[in-house]
Amino acid sequence: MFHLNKDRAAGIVLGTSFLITMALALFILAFLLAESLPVLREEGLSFITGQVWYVAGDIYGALPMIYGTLAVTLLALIIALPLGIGSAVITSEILTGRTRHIVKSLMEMLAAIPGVVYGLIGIALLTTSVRDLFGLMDGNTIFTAGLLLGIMILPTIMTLSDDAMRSLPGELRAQGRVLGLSHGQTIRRVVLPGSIKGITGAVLLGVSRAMGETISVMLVIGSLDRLPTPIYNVFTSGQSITSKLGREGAEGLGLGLQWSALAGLGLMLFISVMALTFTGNIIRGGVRPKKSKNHEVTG
Amino acid sequence: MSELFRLTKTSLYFGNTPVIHEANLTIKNGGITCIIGPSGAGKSTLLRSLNRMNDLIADFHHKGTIMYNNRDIYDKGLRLEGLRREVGLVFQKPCLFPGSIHDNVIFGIRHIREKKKEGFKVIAERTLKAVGLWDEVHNRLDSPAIGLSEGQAQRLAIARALAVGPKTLLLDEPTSSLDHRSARAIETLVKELGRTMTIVIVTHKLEQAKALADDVVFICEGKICEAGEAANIFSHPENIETRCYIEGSPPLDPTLPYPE
Repeated sequence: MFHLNKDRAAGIVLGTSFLITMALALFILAFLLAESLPVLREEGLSFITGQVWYVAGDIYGALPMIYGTLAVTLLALIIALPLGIGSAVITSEILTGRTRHIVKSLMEMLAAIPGVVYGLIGIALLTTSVRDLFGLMDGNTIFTAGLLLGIMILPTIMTLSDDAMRSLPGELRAQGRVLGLSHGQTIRRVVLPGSIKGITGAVLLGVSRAMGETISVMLVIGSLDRLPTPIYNVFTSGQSITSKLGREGAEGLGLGLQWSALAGLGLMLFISVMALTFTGNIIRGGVRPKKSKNHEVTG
Repeated sequence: MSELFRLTKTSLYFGNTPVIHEANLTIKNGGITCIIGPSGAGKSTLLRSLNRMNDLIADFHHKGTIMYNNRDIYDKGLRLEGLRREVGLVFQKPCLFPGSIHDNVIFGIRHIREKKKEGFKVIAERTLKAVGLWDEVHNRLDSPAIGLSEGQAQRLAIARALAVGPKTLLLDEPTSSLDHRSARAIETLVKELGRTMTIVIVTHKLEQAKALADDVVFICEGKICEAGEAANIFSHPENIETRCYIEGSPPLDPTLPYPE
């Protein structure tokens, strides 16, 4: 009678899953590469440096979209980084017991809300608020998209940073306190440096989410394929790679060079997000929450 | 000698469980006081209460008073960080920070302005010499502390505590995880330090207590059974539990008559 060893069976299932995942990722990469080859051949480097995207003239310059993506991501980071790490410090180092659990659960819930819901809130509240606050004609701006993305990635950065801080052994905190450091000094000098890897990983994963977010950005960015003047003026409409793909993806399917240009945008986004996610996960390494007797600091 | 710590009807609790029950105790200024007793007696909890380190555990609370230098350590005006700088504590297992040996020694003083004036390198050298580690590490102060042996790591932990400049040093079973040779090195160091400062050490090794202690506190099941001069307690223990513990026999039923 044939008895399949359980470990071996599990190994085969896991190995097959891994191979399928890798094959899928490679297939997507190969597909995007193959589809974008025509535009790369036609436009060359100007596909990246060109500022004009004119479908009727078959001119495809992606710089406004690349700029838009980088700008909204940077703005999101400026907003979410201090708030996310600050909130993580509060949940990990200050709140205890049930309060901590409730706040952490709420943040995890916020992280799970679909982008389109954030987008609707963005349209309803953010665009009008930004317009009125800064006296603009139109509230659909790069700034609005960055602000919305910042709110969206805040829970991700917060919960993963919280995990990183919680994974630090309680003995290290106790050691800081016993040497006469205050609670605040222990956070600054023991907790934050000790969990910097996990926090960096959390930020990179947050950034990759920001770069890949489509619907909410599309709803509030204004969708204008143009670099702002001056270049740092984020209070103007713009376009990100994702919002461009969201708007033109379906209609551009099979339309020669336009489709190829969209695939090229997809390729750039795919490589960037994959690299960020991969680096984020590598840096985070084995960061997992641990419980420690000395962790619940109150004194 | 004057008294340094005075505990009056001090009970220490984790949640509703009393770990130390209505302790009355005086610890003298200067010399070495050993807290001995069987496992789970509450020795470490008592030690950690002397610089309020138990307060870091969420469900800890206390009753009664703990006086240090004639001042209640729970006095609202008392700065907790100041107390912990004066009353240092070294844990059972050396817990080193990521970073170099030098970084570890000066970890507790980097934010203290007066120490900066004196110079961190000077303080590091002085404290590493005091714990007998200087000759072994002086040419690799910038190497990661994580590479040190367990015995060296424990001496580094003591050096780090000394760098802060405490007047009293609490040691919580500092040799329990060390091999015989490293343990002897720490014992010699503790004896040396005991000449210039107050040392309160928890140990479950009777031989160590005999070798080090000027005074002994014997704890059993959360109660202070006996406290006093080491020579007296080791030669003529008055309490039956103390006597059984010192003689190595299991504790007797207290209802039975005292063995002759």
